[in-house]
Amino acid sequence: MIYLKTLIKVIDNSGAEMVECIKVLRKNPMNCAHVGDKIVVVVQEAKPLSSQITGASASNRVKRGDICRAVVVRTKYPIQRDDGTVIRFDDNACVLINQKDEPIGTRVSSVVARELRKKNFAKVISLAPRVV
Amino acid sequence: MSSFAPLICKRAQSTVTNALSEIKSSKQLFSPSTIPFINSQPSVTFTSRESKRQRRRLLERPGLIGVKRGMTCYFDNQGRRLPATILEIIQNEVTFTRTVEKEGIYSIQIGSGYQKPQNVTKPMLGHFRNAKVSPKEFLKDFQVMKPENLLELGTELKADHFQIGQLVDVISVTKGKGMAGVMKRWNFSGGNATHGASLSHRSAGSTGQNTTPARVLPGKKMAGRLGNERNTIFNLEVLDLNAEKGYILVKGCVSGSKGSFVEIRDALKKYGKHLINEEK
Amino acid sequence: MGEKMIVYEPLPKLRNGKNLMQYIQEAQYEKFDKNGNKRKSISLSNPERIRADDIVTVVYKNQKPVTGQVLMVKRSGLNSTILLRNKITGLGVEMNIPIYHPNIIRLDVIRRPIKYKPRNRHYYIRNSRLDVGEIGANGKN
Repeated sequence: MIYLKTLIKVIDNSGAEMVECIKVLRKNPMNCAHVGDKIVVVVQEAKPLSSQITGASASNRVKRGDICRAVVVRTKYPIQRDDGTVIRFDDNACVLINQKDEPIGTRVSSVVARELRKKNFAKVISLAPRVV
Repeated sequence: MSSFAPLICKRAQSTVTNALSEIKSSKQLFSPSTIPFINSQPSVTFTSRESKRQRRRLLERPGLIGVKRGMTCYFDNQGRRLPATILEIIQNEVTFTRTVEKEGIYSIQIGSGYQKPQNVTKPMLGHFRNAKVSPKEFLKDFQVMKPENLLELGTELKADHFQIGQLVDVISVTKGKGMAGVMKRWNFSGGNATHGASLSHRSAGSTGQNTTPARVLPGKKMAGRLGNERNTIFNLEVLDLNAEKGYILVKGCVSGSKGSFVEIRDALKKYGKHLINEEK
Repeated sequence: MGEKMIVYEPLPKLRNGKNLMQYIQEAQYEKFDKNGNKRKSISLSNPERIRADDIVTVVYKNQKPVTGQVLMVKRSGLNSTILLRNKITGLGVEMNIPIYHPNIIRLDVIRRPIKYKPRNRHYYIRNSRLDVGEIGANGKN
């Protein structure tokens, strides 16, 4: 249940910590985003830039006020699966992606939902420490 | 228009016969304009009962009458959990048939359930006696397409009338909700909760204009009785059935309370055909 | 009115007059729970039944087992479910699992509390000091 103005946690190492949803992509305006849906977000809180970070992750860092795309990886709203199992997480979280649907960061720090595989986000699944 | 048709036909016939009698040899030519009309049957009018039957989407078989017993879940072969409604098929027998010659339609009346004879009126007892079946609780007509589709009186229909995986329509009477306001009945949004609103939190608001038209237009959605009306749910999948035990499981939910009679027929939108298209 | 009306007998009763809902439920149990273990595990008459506050592992045929603390047991025939809560990498995850699903092999009770709390629905432990810890985080399961 993620829609305009929802604040979402970011669980990758792109530098963003908290983002705000400004658009749910490819959905009816009245609909909301669930796991696996793409959204457009504004970075509200970001980790400060430091010189210690080098390599690919340094070039992909985002700052406060940046607009980028993200994919929802877990929601507080319950997800019902085909086998009747209902799964619910304690928070809403997303991973920032680029225009080609590849994650910006190189690491995913926390658990993600299995529904992402169906929506062709296998890269996010492989980065995650645990898939539920 | 139709009242003129026989007159015109008569004149046409006479003109043709006169013209033919005057022909002396086969080589003689006559203008087509001397035959103003060709003798033909008057066409069936658009509003006649028979032409309406021709235009209607009809099925080739009758349906069944079931009793809604409740809901359960169903695990299919792909490991999915599906909601299912249990419909019991009891004492389904053909009680009467109608034909185009007499009643204007081909239809099969099917009875379901059982009633004690002392609770049934004598005319109805005679009706059941003619079909050689027990007194039924619920009767329903199913219109069929052709005279070949009619069944013999007293034929028993079981749950294996349908097949697993096919689509059916389920028709039943919804639960009555009594007198209901516009918010519940028509999904109006109601009035303000605050901002000085008084006695109009759930009201309908305006019902129309002022001097023109100076009345409420027909069909205006207002408060009134909700529910207790016939409702069709189209294209439900048959998940499971058992003729010996007498039940059908359909995917999803069905209108009405537990214990109410429901009509089950082949999905009209999928299996139904028009007689006009058939004859071509 | 003197002549008596002929009335025909109804068709024979199905299932020996047994209630259809009862028959279907028994048939479903026979199909999805042949040995009766799942029925026994949530039956109220069983003192060893699964209760809220137990820690349970659900073992599947085709996927990894799921472990968590039981928040509630919903008994509604074939659609009976248990609600498991766990913490994975510090994040609370809840799963409501239909226990009669054919892909579930068995339900193992890993640990029982010393004393049960006086409630059957433990929703109130969410995000409180009574909340569950990281169960099975050491790679035990």
